[in-house]
Order: sequence, then structure tokens, then C-alpha cells
Amino acid sequence: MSTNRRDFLLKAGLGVGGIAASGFIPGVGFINAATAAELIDPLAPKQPHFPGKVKSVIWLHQNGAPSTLDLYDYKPELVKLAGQPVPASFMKGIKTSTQGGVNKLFYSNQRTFKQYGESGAWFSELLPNLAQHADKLAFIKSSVTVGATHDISILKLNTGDLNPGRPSLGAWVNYALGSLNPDLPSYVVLYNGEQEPSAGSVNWSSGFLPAVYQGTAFRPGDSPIIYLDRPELRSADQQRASLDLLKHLNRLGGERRPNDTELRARLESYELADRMQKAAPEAVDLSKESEATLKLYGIDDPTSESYGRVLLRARRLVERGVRFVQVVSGYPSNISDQERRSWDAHSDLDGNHGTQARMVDKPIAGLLQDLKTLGLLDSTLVVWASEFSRTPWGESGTGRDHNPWGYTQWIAGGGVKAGFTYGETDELGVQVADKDKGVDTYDLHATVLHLLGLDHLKTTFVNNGRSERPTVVYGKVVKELLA
Amino acid sequence: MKTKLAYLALTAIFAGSAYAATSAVDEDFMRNIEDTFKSADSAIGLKDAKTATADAKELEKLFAEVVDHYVKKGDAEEGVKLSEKSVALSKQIVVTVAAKDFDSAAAASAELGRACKSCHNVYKQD
Repeated sequence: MSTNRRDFLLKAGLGVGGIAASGFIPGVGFINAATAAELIDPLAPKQPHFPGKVKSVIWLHQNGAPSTLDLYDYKPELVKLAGQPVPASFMKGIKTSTQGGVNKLFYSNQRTFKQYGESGAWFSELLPNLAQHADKLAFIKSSVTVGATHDISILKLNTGDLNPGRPSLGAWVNYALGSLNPDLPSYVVLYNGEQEPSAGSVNWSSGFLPAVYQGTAFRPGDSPIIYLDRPELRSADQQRASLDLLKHLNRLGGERRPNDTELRARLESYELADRMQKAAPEAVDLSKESEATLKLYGIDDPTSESYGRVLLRARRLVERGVRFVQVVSGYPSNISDQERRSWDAHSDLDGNHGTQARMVDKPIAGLLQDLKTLGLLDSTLVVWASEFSRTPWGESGTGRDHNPWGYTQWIAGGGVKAGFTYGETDELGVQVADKDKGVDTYDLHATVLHLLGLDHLKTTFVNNGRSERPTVVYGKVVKELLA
Repeated sequence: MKTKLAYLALTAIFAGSAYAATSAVDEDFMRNIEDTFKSADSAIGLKDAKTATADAKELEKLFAEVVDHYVKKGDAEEGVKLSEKSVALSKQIVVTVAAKDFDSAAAASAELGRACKSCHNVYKQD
């Protein structure tokens, strides 16, 4: 909503009748005049609970669960014991139900690790470009989650629950902070590859929050939003006149259904779509980016080209005030092997991770470098996240199974203790070494919200009479990760 | 008639005692804890002191039974420790809500959630 419209409403009606406007709305709770204005424009910017360190988040979901034992978590003991059974002492307290069973410990003879930066963080040969940014990252080497199928654990990664119905983290951020750019959706989902991510739109759903807070998926290519382009035979004036009529009729309908959030979301989306016809294609148009920038993101390499384009779009969106950009890794356009379409390496880990790592390494390194150069890294949080990781024991002779008991994720950007590592896994990388330092999805979400200036315990929404929050009934800010 | 009523009342009391003595820390019991906990957490968010206090007091009793369960089970040091911690956190919710300090109550509730999760990670099928 424009400032003028809000001013008008506040002064002419809701504002003058501030007390009158305050009151109880079923399903919403007690409101004051300010929130009444927000109900009219649910995406109006809102104040955080305390000054945030960052304005935007780029959430890099590594789809399919990379083996962080083969990327960041160097285990000399695993190298030594490769080919032997897993000692029973390492399996204490975990129950395996993974499809491949517990086989002998596996270590690829192609793997080499080196330390980088002043922090001395370990990186394998699979991530040579990202390794150059070691001192920008804060590693969480004690990540834990619930291990189920990919789709279910991905749902937990994004919404905190194993069942559909809860809002995704991006939707909570959108709800709590509103939009910084009225011409673009404030929660955008990006992916590379030919199809939407297989786990589906439930991962950017608004759940029980009003529908207006859900993520908007941008397709790869020149036309990011399906059916957004105005048909050639229709003039801009004709379209505006139609939209004005539609808006009038919808408002009449909306007045009779004040609690219909789907209708309110649709009203908002018509207007947003009209504005986005100009703003969105420009935001994702890379034609004016320099050759050097394209190269920085690996767009000159067929394997990293599609992911590089997506991350360059992410940077452009953040630059334009988009709050939450959720990037789901897909696959390069130059591969036909189905086994290499995600990080899910149950077999041929070297082939799979060779492709996937090459796809993301240069683009993520480029993103960090570009954000830094543009002065945006201080106001942006970049998160490397995955639904789980992979076991130190082998599967099919050359792959690894699913591991939710201990793995690595990282964060970088404003307010983050850069060049720091929190927690660790045991000597073989089976599970977290100290369970008290386990960082579950809820803790990661609480920490991300904290960096945005939001207290996860106070970010609440009343659904069916129950107060709900992003971290369900859990969550703890990992203060050690904060600068 | 009075004798019959007294007999029925006594039967009901004894039946109740027998139930209490045999009530186990089983799936239904834990589901009851989960429902009560979610209700308490929501009540804290809504600043509904009455419900939050009632739920937290109920949780205190239920977690005390979980402590007994793990003590009797034996070789369950972690279970005893975490259920005792849960009793203490339930008490903390009662105290902080009484002081109308809902921020501290919410923090205690989140900590209680973590304790539940930690315990379930160790004793998944207990």
C-alpha cells in the first residue's frame, strides 16, 4: 500500500477512530490502528522486535543431501578405518532405518582435504572456489534433523514440521517484516533445472498464515513468472482499466468476507502482478551484467551456468529489497544422467558430487564475493542448508546413505561470527559428538530470525485459537554463531 | 439403597486406584504430555495465565511420573536427568507465569521442548 493510501485510511477513518479501530477480530486477535492498516495491506513493512543485523536472507537448499563428510568435515579416522565395519560404540543412541543397511566404512580414494584461510577451515578438492571464502563462513558441524524420506525431511528443513500445513521460514519472515519493495514479491523461490523442485510448493507455502505470505516461484528463463506477460494484443491502458474494474468488484466482495485471506491475497496479487510485469523481468534480466560478473558466477561453464544464473538473480533480488530468496539446487543443463540430478548419491558418489559440487562451487563463491564487493554482505545472510547428509559407511560400493544424526551446514553475512566453527561430529562423522551442541532445524530457524531482528518466541500467529510460532515448541538461538 | 450406593462408590475408588497403580508411561501417556505441553506453550504465547499455569502444573505431575519410570527401569541415567529437568522447567513456567513474566515462561517452554526432543532421541521406542 502506498504511504498516501495508508495515511488517508489512518486519518480519515481508522486513524481518527484509533480506539474504535482497536478491537478483537476472530482468528486474528486484538488489533490496534497500526495493525488495522496492515490488515488492509498485509505486506506493509513492519518493525522487527529489535534492530536486525540483516535485511535479507538467501537460503541455499542443497537438494538431495550432499555428503558433508566429502566437502567440509575431514575425518582422518574414517580414512584409516575405510573398508572396516563401523565400531559398535559409534552407533550408540541411533537407530538406523536407512534402505542400504549399515555397511563397511567408505572413503573415496579421490578425496583430498586442505585447510584454507586464517580460520584453517577444511575443504575437499570438490569446492576449490568456495574454499577461498573460508573466513567468511560460520560452520555448524553439529547439525541434526529427523531422517525420513527426502520430501519429508525437506519439509522439516523449510517449515519445521514433518507434515504439510505449517508456514515455511520465508513465509514467517514475510509475515513478520513485510515487504521492502512493493513492486516485487518479498519472498521468491528460485531453482535451476527444467522442473520445479520435486518436493513441491508446500516448501514455500504460507501454511496457516494468510496466503499472501507464500513464496513466489520464479522459473529459469526470460519470463520468470508463468502467465505474467501481458498479451501482445492488449494495451497497457486496457489492462489497467480491466484491473481497476476487477479491483472494485473484488473490494465489494471482500467487504462481505473480511476474514477471507485467499481473497485478500488474490486482490493483492492482481496489483502486484501488474507492477511485477515491469519489475520482475528487469530484476532477473542479466543482459546488463558485465562479462566479469557472469564469469564470477561460473556462467561461462556449462556445468555451473544454470545455478550461476540463479544466484546472480538472487543477488539482484536482494539488491532490490526482496526479503527471502529460497534457492533450491537442481542440475546442470548438460547432463542426462538421472543419478546426477540432485546430491542424492546412493551410488557413484564421486561422479554425482563431482557434478553437483562443480555446479554450485563457483556460483556460491561468486555470490559471496559479489555481495561483499557491493557492500551487501553486511545486510544479507547466506545459508547453506540441506535436509540431511550422508553416512560414513558406504552403499552400493561407491555411494553413501542418509545421515540425519550429524552433519555440516553454514551461514555467512551480517552479524555472523565469520571464520568460526560450532560443534563437531564424532571421529567417523556418524553423529554429533556432544548432543547438547546439536543444532536442529528449529535452532537454525531461530538464529536466522534473530539476525533479522525477530525473536522466534514472539513471532506468533493465532491459528484455530492456538498461538503458533515458527519454531513450533522448540528452538534456541545459537548465540555462539553471532558476531 | 444407601448400602448399594456406598458399595458402588467404593468399587469406583478401588478401580481408580488400580488404574493409577498400573498406568504406564506408554504412547498414550506421552501423547497426553505432548498435547498438554503444546497447550501450555500456546497459552504462554496468548498470555493466558490461567491455562498456562494449569497445564504447567499438570506437566509437573506427568514428568514426575516419567522420572519414576526411568528410575524403576534402571540404566537410564539420561532419561532420569532429562525428565527431572522437565519437572524443573514445568515449575519454572508456573513461577514465571505467576510473576506475569511471559518472556521467561516462553524461554522455559522452548527449553522444555528441547529437553523432550533430546530424550526422544535417546529413548525412541520407550
